[in-house]
Amino acid sequence: MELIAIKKGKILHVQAVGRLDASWSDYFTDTFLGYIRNGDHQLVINAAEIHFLSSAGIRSLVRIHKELMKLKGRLQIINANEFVISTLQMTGFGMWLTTSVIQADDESSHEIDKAEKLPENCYALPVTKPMTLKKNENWVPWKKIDPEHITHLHFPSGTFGLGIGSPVSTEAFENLLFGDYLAVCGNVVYQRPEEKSKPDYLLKLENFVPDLYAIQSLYAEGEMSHLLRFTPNEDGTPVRLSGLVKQTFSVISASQIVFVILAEIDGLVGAHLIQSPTKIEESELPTGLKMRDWLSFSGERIHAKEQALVVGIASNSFNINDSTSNQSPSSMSGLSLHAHTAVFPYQPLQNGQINLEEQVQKFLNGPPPKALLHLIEDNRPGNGLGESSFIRGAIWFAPVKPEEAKQ
Amino acid sequence: MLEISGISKTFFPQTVNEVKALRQVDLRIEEGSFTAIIGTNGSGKSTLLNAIAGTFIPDDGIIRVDGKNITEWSEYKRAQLIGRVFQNPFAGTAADMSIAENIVMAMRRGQSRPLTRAVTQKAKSEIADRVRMLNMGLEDRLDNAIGTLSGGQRQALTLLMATWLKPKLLLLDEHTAALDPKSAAKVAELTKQIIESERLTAMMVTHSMQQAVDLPDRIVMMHRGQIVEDYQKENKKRVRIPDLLDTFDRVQKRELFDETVAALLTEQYF
Amino acid sequence: MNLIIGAFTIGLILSLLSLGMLISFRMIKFTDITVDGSLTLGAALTAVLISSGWSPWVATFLAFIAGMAAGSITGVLYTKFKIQEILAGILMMTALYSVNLRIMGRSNIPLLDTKTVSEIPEKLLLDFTDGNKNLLFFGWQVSLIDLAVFISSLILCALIGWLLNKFLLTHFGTVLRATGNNVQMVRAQGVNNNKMIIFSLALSNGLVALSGALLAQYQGFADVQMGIGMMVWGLASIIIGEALVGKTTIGIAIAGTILGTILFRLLIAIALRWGLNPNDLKLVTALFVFAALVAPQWFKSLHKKLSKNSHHA
Repeated sequence: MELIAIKKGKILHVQAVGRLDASWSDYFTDTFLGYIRNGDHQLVINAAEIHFLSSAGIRSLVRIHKELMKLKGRLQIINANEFVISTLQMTGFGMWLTTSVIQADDESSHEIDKAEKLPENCYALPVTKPMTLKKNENWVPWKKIDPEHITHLHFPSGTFGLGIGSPVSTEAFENLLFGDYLAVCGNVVYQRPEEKSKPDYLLKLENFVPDLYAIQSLYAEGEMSHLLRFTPNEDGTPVRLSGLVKQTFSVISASQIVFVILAEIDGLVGAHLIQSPTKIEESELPTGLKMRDWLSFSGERIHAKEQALVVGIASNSFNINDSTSNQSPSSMSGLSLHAHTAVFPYQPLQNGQINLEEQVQKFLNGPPPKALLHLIEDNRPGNGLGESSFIRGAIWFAPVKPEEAKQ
Repeated sequence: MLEISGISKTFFPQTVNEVKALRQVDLRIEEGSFTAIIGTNGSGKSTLLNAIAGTFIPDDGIIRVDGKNITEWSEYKRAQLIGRVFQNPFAGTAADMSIAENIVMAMRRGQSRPLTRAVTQKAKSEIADRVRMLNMGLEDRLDNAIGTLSGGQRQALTLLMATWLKPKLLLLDEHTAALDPKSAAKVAELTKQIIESERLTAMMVTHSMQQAVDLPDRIVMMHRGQIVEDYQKENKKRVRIPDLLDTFDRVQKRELFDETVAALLTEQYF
Repeated sequence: MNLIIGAFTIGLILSLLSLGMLISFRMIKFTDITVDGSLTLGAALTAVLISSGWSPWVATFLAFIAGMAAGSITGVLYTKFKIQEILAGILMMTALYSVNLRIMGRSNIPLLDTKTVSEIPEKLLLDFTDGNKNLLFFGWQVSLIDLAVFISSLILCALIGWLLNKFLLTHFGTVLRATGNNVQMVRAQGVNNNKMIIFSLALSNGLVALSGALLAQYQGFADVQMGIGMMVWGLASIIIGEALVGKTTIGIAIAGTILGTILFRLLIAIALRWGLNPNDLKLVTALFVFAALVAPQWFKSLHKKLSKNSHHA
């Protein structure tokens, strides 16, 4: 089996040569899933030289078809010989056969908005409720926590957030376990402050609004104004987080944005709490190796090829945290940003304009998240790991005006 | 049964090659338990086994067997108490000597060696009986030099030799690592059989997570000369390979977390 | 004929040396150079004791003990002081040179009109032949005294060979052999491998000194230089023996060593008879051992090459 792929417009034409049977079906499936992963969702198989199609081959085609359906893509088979045609029709898959290639659906409905002169792959979204931001830094590291530091946060739809929080509980506050969390579209992913455990998550349901006790939070409410789809840079290198965020600042004029990224991971660098700050006994920031007891550091670029759901806040002009706090997020290349990410097993994203809420639901209802990290730019000279980067995906963002944190 | 308290060993002290192979290791092994020791290369797992076997005397700490302090005992003296199987299938047997002669030596492990004929007919038939249980057809080849046997056969014989006289403690140092998969499985099975039927107290260093999960009833994980994890009883029953890998990752991650990372996180996390 | 009997006798006496070396060189795989000194030690001690009136039997026995002491010291140097085996042997050999000179008081001692251990068999044989000092042996005239010595050497040699075989097959002998094979294994079986090495070297050098004691009595003098090159000599004999009969069992290896020593002695006697300069003897011996050590490997690689070529064809 030999597969030769040529891109014509939005359609990937794959010429298949040989027998599509049990011995080649795995190769065939993997190659096609690779095309899909690379963002080609309109696939045409030129079957002129497929001499034989077995049931394993059909199974492989079904697998590819299903994958494409999830992404609103299409599989077409052209130039098939009599044998292949009769096999497909007999098994009820005649719909793949076409005599001439059907062009991809026009995805250019957004071009009406092109008045704004958005770059390619950028979509302006209708906004009825602009994004607002609330900051809560009741707890200042490294104070002993007392109940007054705790804010009870609710996350209805249309809220985003990140910070350090604990599930709501009737336990004495000393027993609360504060860990990193993120919230997106009213869903919460929370990492227990333990090294081993996988994150917990609270899903928005009809009558249920997820809530948390937070000691530090960035809480945004409103709608995303733009969507930007990205793929690897022209030289094939992955997209760095700071580069991506800078791109958003070139689309909208704002000094501060809230963003959500859904993307295939190239590598993440980050840390998370492994011991709840409620365990603090001395009000003194742990130094040196003592920090090991509180934070886990990724140590290398991790979770490659998996999917990230990032929630973050970035500013290009001032530190997003007020100066009275000693909380100073990474200052990545002139940017100040604070982002948390949840890691999910890989699932491909549909091309073009996609809906944030739908996509988030898809991930949160799929296999559970594997990790949650506070992203760090490791700029240590010599052996620094750099910052997190992504291969392809989507970033939704909106300008935001800060609201004064209530005291 | 075995009590190790605070043993340390530094190889090549005060040189550029200084290796702190064991750092204040404490370990208690219960009578009749079977413990696996796992860890990365250089984690000190084999060094720990060698310290128990007496290959070297530790710089610090005490080793007790049944309350007896054996820390200063020489390797050969400890052989009264300890049976051993090495990683190298050639290490446990004398290649130029026959199967019978090798086993006859093991029949008096740690005892006096009188000036009477070693390989008698009586000894030979006793040997043949036990060798037959290995199901390797070796009982008809007792006069052949052990060097003519395969690694798996030699390792099976070494295991038989180490347990011929019931040892207080059986030490297995990656004893299946140098074998082909089939022989390794066979020797692992044999190990389980012998340990169970003789109710031996055993410690096994292994590279194979599968083996660590399947065979013993306790898993001790070492890293940088220290015990970093100890799965016993219920925890051991529950533990699976991915858990062990996770723990490895965690331990290594902790290792990468140095002062520079602490400074970075102080700046960026808080 | 006398020449042949002489060669046989010396061969038998020296086979004790070879048997000693069989223990060190082959059983515990220890290249022991002490041999050169302990052979002389045995000879010197016997000569001095006999010439000052001691019983030759006691003198010979004491020589054996002295050899054991020398071997033990080499063993202790190697095991306790961690000196390399060759160096330990060289140290002991060098030290023994002075010790031997001290024992003898000069560089050689003749043993002309003194009693030796061959006295009793001589007497027995003389009684048997009614005092006839020469005998016709298949048409050859043979000195009765030489024959007596030959027969007694033969008996002694067979006895020691038999004992050694018995010994090596005991529990103790088995671990001794294993020590040279796999030290780690021996330790794991609870054997003090250092003690085994010291004991083996003692036994080995005891036999070598015994050989020296008998040699001195046979040739009628002890010379401080008589041990030089004897180690290579013993080696050559062991190698010839292995080539003759192999080493499949301990008994065969022992018999082979004795046969090898005799054969080697005969070859030397013949070579000397044909006009080999005695001064060249050590060189020839060394070359022979070199060839014997190298030839097997050389044949192996040659064989490989040949079979490779045939594959290509």
